[in-house]
Amino acid sequence: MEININKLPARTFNWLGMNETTVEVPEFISGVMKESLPCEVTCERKSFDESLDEVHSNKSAGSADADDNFFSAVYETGMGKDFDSLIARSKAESYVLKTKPGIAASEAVRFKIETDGENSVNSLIVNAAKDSSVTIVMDYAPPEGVSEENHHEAEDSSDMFGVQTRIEADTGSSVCLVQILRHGADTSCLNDIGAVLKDGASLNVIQLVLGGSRNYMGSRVVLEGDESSFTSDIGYIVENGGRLDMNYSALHMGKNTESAINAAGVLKDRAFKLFRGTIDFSKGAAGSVGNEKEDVLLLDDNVVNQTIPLILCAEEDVEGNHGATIGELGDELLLYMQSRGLSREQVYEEMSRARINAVCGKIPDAATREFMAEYLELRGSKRNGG
Amino acid sequence: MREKSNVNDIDRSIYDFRNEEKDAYRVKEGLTPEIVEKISSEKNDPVWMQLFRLQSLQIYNELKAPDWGPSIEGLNMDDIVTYVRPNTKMSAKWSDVPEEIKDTFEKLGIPQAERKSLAGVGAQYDSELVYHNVRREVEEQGVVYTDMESALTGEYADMVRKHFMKLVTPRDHKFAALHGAVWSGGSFVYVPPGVSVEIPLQSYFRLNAPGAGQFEHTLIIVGEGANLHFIEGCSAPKYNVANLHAGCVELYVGKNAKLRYSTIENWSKNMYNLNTKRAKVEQGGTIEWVSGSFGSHVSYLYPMSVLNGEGARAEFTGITFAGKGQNLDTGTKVVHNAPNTTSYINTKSISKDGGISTFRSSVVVKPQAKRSRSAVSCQSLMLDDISRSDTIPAMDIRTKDADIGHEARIGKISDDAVFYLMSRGIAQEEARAMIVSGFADNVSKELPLEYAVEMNNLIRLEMKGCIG
Repeated sequence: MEININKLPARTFNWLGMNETTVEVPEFISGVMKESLPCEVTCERKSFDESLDEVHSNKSAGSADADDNFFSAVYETGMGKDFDSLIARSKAESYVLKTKPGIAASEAVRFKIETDGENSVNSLIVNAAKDSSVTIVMDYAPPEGVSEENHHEAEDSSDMFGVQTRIEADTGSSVCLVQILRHGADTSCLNDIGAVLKDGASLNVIQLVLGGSRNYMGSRVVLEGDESSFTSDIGYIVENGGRLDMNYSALHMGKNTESAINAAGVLKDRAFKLFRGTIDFSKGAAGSVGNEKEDVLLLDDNVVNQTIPLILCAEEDVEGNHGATIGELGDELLLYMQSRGLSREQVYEEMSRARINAVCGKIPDAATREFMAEYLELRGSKRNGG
Repeated sequence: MREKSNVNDIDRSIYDFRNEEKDAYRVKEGLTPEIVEKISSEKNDPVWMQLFRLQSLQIYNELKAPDWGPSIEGLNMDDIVTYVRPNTKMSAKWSDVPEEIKDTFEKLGIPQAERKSLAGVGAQYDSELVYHNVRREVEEQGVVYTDMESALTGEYADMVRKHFMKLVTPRDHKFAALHGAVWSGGSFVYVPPGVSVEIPLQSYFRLNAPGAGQFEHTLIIVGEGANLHFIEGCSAPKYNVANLHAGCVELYVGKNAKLRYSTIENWSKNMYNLNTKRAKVEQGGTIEWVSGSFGSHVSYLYPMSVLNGEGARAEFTGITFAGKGQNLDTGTKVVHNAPNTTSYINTKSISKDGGISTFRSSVVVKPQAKRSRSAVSCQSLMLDDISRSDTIPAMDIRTKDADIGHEARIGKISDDAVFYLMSRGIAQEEARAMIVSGFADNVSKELPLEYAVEMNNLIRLEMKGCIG
């Protein structure tokens, strides 16, 4: 079966092949996530359809009289409706996570998604209550004892799993979502996010894409409330015949909203990467600021790097910026590093790791940061034959 | 109360005058094989061109309209007259041109510009050239500047056949196919190797007939080491029915040659401007596009540079001004197809009074284009909250050995800049006018003085205070 995902909010030249992505998917079954919760949050399981209905019924006072089209537009995810249908067909249950008003979770909520080759799909819905705060860490990894090293090339892989995370951040709430994709190299992933932020709410998404053969990432965040803010930091390494297909968008609706989408990564071997990033200012989003930044290090001649950063603007009093740098390391930097005794290969390895470390450094949860430091060290030494 | 500044619409009165329709011949509205055959027969096409037109029509009927970009629902080909021949033959003397048509071009300043600053002029009225002339000293250099119809059957017929719609093929998109079927008019330029044409050539296209289309074809071949600046201008009076412009420009820039192609597009606001421009640049060659888009109801315009030879270079400098009722989708495309190629794209757009401006681009770096560099900068200015400005730049990089930079910015007139100028004793209205004029400066400074003046006339950013 095929689904169309990651549709660009404004289409462009078809010959570029960037307008959307068609993916062959298997029939999915409902997945299971292992959770670890601090006492300040609750988590219950509901059918996906039921939980989605609940999301749609949580209309903010300011928009209660808006029509259904408005809500379906607001609550769309980055990957789009085909992925919703796929989850619904799998009869997946949603994990519905709720925080308590005014309470900050004392520890991070942790979800482990074991990518065991069963073509499973999971749904997580986060309801962040007014003035609450929570950090959620989602770790996508093979079961204990199963290596995540490369078994197959991308085109040979057949295992696939999916995760959809929907976030409703109420007034003044703060959510940090950390997603670590370190699943096996013979596994593909569909990872989707949809979020709506009310007045003064903030969402910080940190994603590390370190494994998998084909990864499809969607993220759509609606800054509905005034002075809401959203930051997305993505760090990735794509290698061998790997494929990373991204669609990130920030829709500014409220006044004085802020968004920043930062993607930094490395492409090696025959890697393919497509980054779609959109800052969309609706009429009325006066005083808002959106920034997109992309930094891609290309390490091999057979890589394909596609980038399409959109700024859509229907409001005068806003500021939208995009910047991208794509290419090899600068000669001067390379020469300097080599003069410090590093080989060319070591320089590139260090620069790759530096990009990932920079994103890891933004994780607010100390335990996850430490875990990632150890993980990256071990991964590095394995690659160096250690 | 808050003081607001108004930026007035472009003053179009000097372009909006209409002449009585005194055409000698026109085809029926619509697009059928019979109409295409009739055009071909009226133009005495060689056989290969007759077949080419019919094949293009077939392709047109096969291809779909674009599913991206501004809506063209208001364009109904059944209502468009694709060929209107004016009541005169082409001449090399202004005195032979009928008074009314001559008067049109005089109002547009073409004969005056020819006398002062041009090496040659072509003037097209509806579907045919009515005037074409090139200075003797330029002709003596071996430069050929003539109408496409003459070139098709004259001394350079083989050269034309070899290049005509080979760079932009009818399969490219639906309106390229339409062009292939009904093209008429336009210019052929050949600059022999090593020849430098010191002052520009210019073609001016005027569409007078309501409900008509203009489909001129411009083919320029610049030989090895040669140098040319070509300017095209276009305008039309406004009517209440849709007009269509689907021209095609094919530019061949030889080894170490340089071509600057400047356009001031000022079609009326009932025009659908679906134009295609493309340049192929050989080793060490340079193409420079300077593009000002001010007119049209809807525009799709993305001049493309194919950098085919090592060290080839493209520069694109553009400004788009979208006012009331306008949806202008403009930008550029570059393909780096050889090592050490360079592209530099710098665009500005202004939206006001409900106008929609979209910057759309693509930069493709092929695997063989080692050590290529590209820098893209697009800036958009929104002058009110009923307008719209989008940027849609795409990059497809297929070698590690490339250096690609991109920056885009959308915003309003900077309060800090206004405050600074006001602190230097400049009134608020004037300060805002200065900032907006300065925003457009990068294009006007790339044009010859006369055309920079024309562009500034077009912008006419008159600022005045009012209570808002």
